[in-house]
Amino acid sequence: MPYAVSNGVRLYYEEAGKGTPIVFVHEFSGDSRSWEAQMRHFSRRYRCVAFNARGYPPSDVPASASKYSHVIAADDIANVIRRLGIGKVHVIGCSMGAYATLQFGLRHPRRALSLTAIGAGAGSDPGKRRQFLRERAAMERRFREQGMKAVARVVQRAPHRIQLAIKDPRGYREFWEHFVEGSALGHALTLRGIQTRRPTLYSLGSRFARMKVPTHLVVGDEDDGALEPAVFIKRVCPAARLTVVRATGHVVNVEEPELFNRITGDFLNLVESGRWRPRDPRSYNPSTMAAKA
Amino acid sequence: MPFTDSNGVQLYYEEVGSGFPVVFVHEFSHGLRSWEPQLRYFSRRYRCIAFNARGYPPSDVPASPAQYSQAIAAADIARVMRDLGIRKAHIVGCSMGGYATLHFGLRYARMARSLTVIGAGYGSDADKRAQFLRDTGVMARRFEELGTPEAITVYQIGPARVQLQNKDPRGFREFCEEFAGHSALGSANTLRGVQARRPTVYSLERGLRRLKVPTHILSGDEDNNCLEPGIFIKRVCRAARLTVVPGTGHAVNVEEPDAFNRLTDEFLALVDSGRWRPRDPRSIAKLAKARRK
Repeated sequence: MPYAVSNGVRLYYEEAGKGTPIVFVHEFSGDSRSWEAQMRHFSRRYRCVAFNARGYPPSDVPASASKYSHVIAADDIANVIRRLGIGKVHVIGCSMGAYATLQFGLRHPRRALSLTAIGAGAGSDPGKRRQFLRERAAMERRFREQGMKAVARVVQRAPHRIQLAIKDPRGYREFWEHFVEGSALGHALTLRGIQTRRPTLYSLGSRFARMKVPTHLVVGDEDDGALEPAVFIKRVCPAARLTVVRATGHVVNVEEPELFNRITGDFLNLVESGRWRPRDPRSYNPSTMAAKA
Repeated sequence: MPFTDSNGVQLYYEEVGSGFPVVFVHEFSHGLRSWEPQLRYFSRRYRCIAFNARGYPPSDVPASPAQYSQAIAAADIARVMRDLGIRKAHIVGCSMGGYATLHFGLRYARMARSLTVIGAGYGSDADKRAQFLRDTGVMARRFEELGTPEAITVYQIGPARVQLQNKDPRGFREFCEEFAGHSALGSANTLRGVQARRPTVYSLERGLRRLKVPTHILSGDEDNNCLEPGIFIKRVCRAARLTVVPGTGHAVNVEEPDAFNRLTDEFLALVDSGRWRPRDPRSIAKLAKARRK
């Protein structure tokens, strides 16, 4: 099995296709297999790499929470592409992986051709922050005490995951079959090390305002925790554009693979053509209809 | 020329195709010509009707602002349909026409099989309301004092129009040329009678909560005045789904005709198939819980 080593931790990866590289960064409840529909589509034109985060076998599962953080997650992306001899890369991440993707853009902008961030922002809303932290702590205990199957029964009914059950029962079943194969310890430590300690997206506003990497934010219209953070980044970051996908929950690439591949292909084409431009400053004009306020 | 009669006001319309009817309701700065890519596409499967609102020649231009209002705009859609013997239709509207479409759904629900609402929300956000009313007054005076071609020089490069100028110079030129031909009196009266007096999206909450007509809300991600209203409608109305289109300003159907036609085609086909469903209550559980606290 192919591994890339990041600070002593072995990260399992899969690769398909040739050309400009794309690295896929999975979400908390998924793993590299969540990108199957993207690997099959984009490998026709790109060198596609999907890796399992630390804590997700066959990647190593370091036993201490101090080995997991949002900074380590971003550096793991950098180390994977370094090990593969890749200079610059399109990075595509979902949820926890989207947060890592955005952090990668902030910390390693010269190595990013573009960023695609799906459903980032959980835990950012100040009004629901305490609830978020409480729920994460409870879930961490459940992982440790009851194991993957027990957690799956709860997580798969989450308000932003139920959409997949409704629209694609087969995809839903496969998704949770993969989930229960994961490491309960790895998930518990990921929750403790990353999800509850990472800064909220709102606290990173001034850094996003300066970030120049072409960025595409994608969010489902029923992913309630991610809508406002996405609009926030769109507004503060001139390099960002935003797609909201109708009647869709959290994992847009799994729920709506065809639509996601199409809009992502459009975005990558624009960036690769050299014609991508940041937002026109005239569009920030506070006037509602005229050229000058 | 074909006209329908709405309480003595003659409304010009065009019709193409056969099948279940779709009625297109245009925005303030772009008459029925703005629907050209939609008329050409959807006429393959639907009976498409586009009409010019009152105030937009060849439709009549009533001389008093009192003859223009949000309620009248919604009633005009109903009268066009009745005149053409149409009992029920898909309604598709942009901006001012999006508001009219929404109000049509609230007032004439039995005549609507679905609602597609593009770029509605101007004048709704409290922090931008004063600016909007000021801009509306300034623009109305410009139309009256300067005539249309001179009045619109600042409007056509407003903050949510520059996107079209940047991405499609030919489409932008056509938009400006068509706009310059509008009636100055009709435009001023529309601004004073409709825009300045219509209720905000937020004030429609009670009706939106009860609305059962399948509804698709669309907004460009740079259309500053429509993002929050769009998210609001999605959250209060279980019949609503929301799409935000990346790198896009106000008139999504004009700026991104391919993407708009594809999304709308999917939506109409879903509704026509009988498989459309309102938002699953399980996807709102977290919000309800948060609100109770």
